Amino acid sequence: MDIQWQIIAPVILLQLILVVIALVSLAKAEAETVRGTKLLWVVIILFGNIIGSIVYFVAGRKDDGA
Amino acid sequence: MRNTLLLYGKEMLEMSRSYKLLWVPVVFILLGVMQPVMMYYLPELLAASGDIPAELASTLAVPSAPEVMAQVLNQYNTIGILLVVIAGMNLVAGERYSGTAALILVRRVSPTQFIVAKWLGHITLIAVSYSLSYLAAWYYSSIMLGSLAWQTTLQAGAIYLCWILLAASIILLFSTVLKGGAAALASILLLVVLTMTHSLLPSWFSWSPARLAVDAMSLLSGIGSVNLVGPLLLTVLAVLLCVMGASYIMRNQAIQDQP
Repeated sequence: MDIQWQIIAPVILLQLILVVIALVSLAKAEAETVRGTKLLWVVIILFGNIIGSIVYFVAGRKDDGA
Repeated sequence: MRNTLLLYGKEMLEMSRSYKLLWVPVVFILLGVMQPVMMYYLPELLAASGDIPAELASTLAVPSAPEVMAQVLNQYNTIGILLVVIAGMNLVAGERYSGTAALILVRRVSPTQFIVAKWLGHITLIAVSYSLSYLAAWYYSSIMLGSLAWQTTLQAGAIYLCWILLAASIILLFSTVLKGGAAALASILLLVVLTMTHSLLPSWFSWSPARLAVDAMSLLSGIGSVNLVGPLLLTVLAVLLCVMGASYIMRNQAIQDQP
């Protein structure tokens, strides 16, 4: 099967951007505002694909009030 | 008015600080783009998995562009709405429980201005994310799966935008009453009830805002008549009610300390 990279590349790029945003956000956050340990979140973000990053943004931080 | 604009600016700043202004659009765009890409490669993927006989695989046709756009809307209806609700679940609740609301409201800011600024912020975020995502899906569908009638596609997109903005307003209302998670659950339930009642008894609920979502999809696939004046008016009314209700509740709510 031939993959047309000009079609797939933007999708992969977007996923990468998402992961990078999540990791930057995690790196900048104070340890006590993060729910659980940071290392755990790194693993979730890296291996959880899109969902992992979303879960971090939604549930990872305490200062959002939830 | 000036206060509202100030708070709106603060709201946008807050959203960019919490990276919401980045991740919500990116996830939305991915959601929109995935469907055309998946549908385009589906026959090849199925063939590569080797589980289905070759004759069957050859009969699987790549769907037409309008069909795929209808499927994209269907994706928004499930995951997209969930995203709208999750991104907004701490809109007011978060500020209330962290004490920021109290800090702002002891100044000369009326609860209405506060709520309207919150609402405008969320609406902006959702409208921009959705539009970018819809445009991306449109672009992908048309280059990969064939041309789309731009008038119909634009119309369907605009109709669907109203429905998604209603969802964004409903989460604002619930977020003033309940805590984050509970607010998200309540809004999802309300939206599901709206959709269910309309799909079970279409003739009784022909005025239901849920009709916007269904009609946008049938407009794309070219079936069914579209008469939107009733649902559209009701949606605008419902959005106004949500904002007014939220500011009314906010006004009469005792400001809470930390939980």
